[in-house]
Amino acid sequence: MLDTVAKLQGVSSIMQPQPIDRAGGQTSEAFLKLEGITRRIEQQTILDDVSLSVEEGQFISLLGPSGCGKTTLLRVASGLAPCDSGTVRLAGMDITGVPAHKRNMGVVFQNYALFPHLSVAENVAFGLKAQRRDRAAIPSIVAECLAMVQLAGFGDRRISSLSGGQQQRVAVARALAVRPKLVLLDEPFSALDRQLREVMQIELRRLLRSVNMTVIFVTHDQDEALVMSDRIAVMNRGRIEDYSDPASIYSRPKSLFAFDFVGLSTRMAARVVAADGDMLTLDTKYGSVRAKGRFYPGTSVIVGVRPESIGPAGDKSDAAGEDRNRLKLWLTDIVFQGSKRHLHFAAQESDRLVAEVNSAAINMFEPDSELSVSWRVQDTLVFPT
Amino acid sequence: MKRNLTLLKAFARGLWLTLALLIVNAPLIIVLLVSLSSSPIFDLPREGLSLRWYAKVFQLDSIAGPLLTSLQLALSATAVSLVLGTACALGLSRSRFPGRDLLVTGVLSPMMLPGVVIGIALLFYLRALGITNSFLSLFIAHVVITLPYIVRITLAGLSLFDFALVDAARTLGYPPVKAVIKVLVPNLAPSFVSAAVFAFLASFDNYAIALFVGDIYTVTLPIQIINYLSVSTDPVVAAIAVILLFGTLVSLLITERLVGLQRLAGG
Repeated sequence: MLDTVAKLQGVSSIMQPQPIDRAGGQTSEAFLKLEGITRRIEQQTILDDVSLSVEEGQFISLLGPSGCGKTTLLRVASGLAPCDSGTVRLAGMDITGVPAHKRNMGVVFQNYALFPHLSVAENVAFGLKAQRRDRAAIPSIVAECLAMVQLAGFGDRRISSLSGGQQQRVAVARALAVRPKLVLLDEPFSALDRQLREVMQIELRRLLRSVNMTVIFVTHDQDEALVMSDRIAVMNRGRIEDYSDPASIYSRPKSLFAFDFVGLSTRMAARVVAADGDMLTLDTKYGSVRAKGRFYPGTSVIVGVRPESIGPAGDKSDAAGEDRNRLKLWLTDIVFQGSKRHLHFAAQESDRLVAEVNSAAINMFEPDSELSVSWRVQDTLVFPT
Repeated sequence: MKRNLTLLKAFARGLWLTLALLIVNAPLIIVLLVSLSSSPIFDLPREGLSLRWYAKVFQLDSIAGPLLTSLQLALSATAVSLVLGTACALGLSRSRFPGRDLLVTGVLSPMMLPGVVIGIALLFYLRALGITNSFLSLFIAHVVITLPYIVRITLAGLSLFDFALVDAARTLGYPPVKAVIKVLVPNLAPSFVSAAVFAFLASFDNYAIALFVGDIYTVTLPIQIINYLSVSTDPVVAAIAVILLFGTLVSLLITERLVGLQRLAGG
């Protein structure tokens, strides 16, 4: 997890959104702008006043559990689903009432929705024919698109003869062939096995960036969102709870939901016992900790810490002079995670206590023993309950 | 020893299969033999073989008219049922509403009800509606009995159809209705073909309903065959039966080539 974030921080500095200057130096509006989108089905509110701005060339993830409204938001953006209120603006134009077939958006569906009665090349050509492109030009565009997804020479194959990964590439080629203004991906990796998924993630991100495509990507997989995106919108119950770059979403989530959803982490119920400016002193069931935040004394809160922030007290990262929280915890389990291991500690009620340590340092720990741990005060997150 | 046992088993299995096939197809074989008999009465060929009854079928004036009527009825009823049934199946598969299952049962019921019951019911119903034209009456009756085949087979086909394909066609630039035609029709073509074959056959050999709804001026082939049997005892009827049997076999074989028999049987 930490590796992923670190990699992304390196990438995101290059990929920072550049505000685009449109005609005559007018104040530039976001490329795609969803404003106050609300959608109700029967008595249920699927989308509740959702607003989202996407800059041109950005890769945005809609991340959330199933039923949070992320797919519905994608369908509203593509024009496949209506919204009860709100507006969709693309490149400065209001397209709220424009039907899906006139929006020119490339959509990659969850199970790819490839046409089984057509060959690979015919699938890619499908949208070009709908757009009434010059018939003579179609084969070369198709060949170009298939080459782009490394499927050159697969044009005559049947869809059913392709592997899952190849089918996904065809779906991407078909979506890109029509030169869409926007690419919408609806959980495109969910049908692939884990290993292939990781390869395809990197490959797809590189491809979409190379053509400078604006992308909205729907996923319920937090790792996927962290790997792929310039920005992540964490969705819950029809609302966007947090919208920021992956590193901030991970280290400074704005809501408890975003904190919980992105990564397995330590969380403890606590009560604010003192507030000195923005420095809080909090009482947990395991001892007293301090954190930055603004809450009134007496408030019940949840304290959250990312597992890799927590280390055994006295190790190298526990340098003197840093403002650190320290707790004595009862180590119950050591869980192997490849290059890392998770230490699980005895926790009460709905609390969860997890630390992440390097596998090399594993001999230092013994299950069913007491362990002193510490982490920086600045890494301590406080959320209202 | 073991090898012999395996051989014996295979032999027993083959014998069993042959016997079963013989028993099931015995009536058809008998009809075939009767049609080839040279005797002027309806009997197995004892004196010799002949094709004269086949020749006679084509000389009989009383057969051509009813055959044409039956073909017209079966084709028109199948075509109309195909359109109505597909629309009905689309509606039923794409929506959930109270009473949906009841509606499905209602639409499919002519397949389960005895023909006599439907025949009597339609006779009174069409008379109450004031429809006296007997071809029109027969046409309506045949739509009623062919519709369940279309709805059932198309519903089964639709249950395997991924409607995301229609969404995909829309996002690629086709307006909704055109998207359905571009994607749904070619993918459901096997269902349409097998549904049409079954509907056609159900209409073509229907006897019970035509007995009630038809009149002496509009006679379908099955009715005419029974009429013929009551006045004549020669094997012409057997020859007609064999011709129909081969017609059915050929249409089934062509369909099998086109869509596969499993789909034909399973929908």
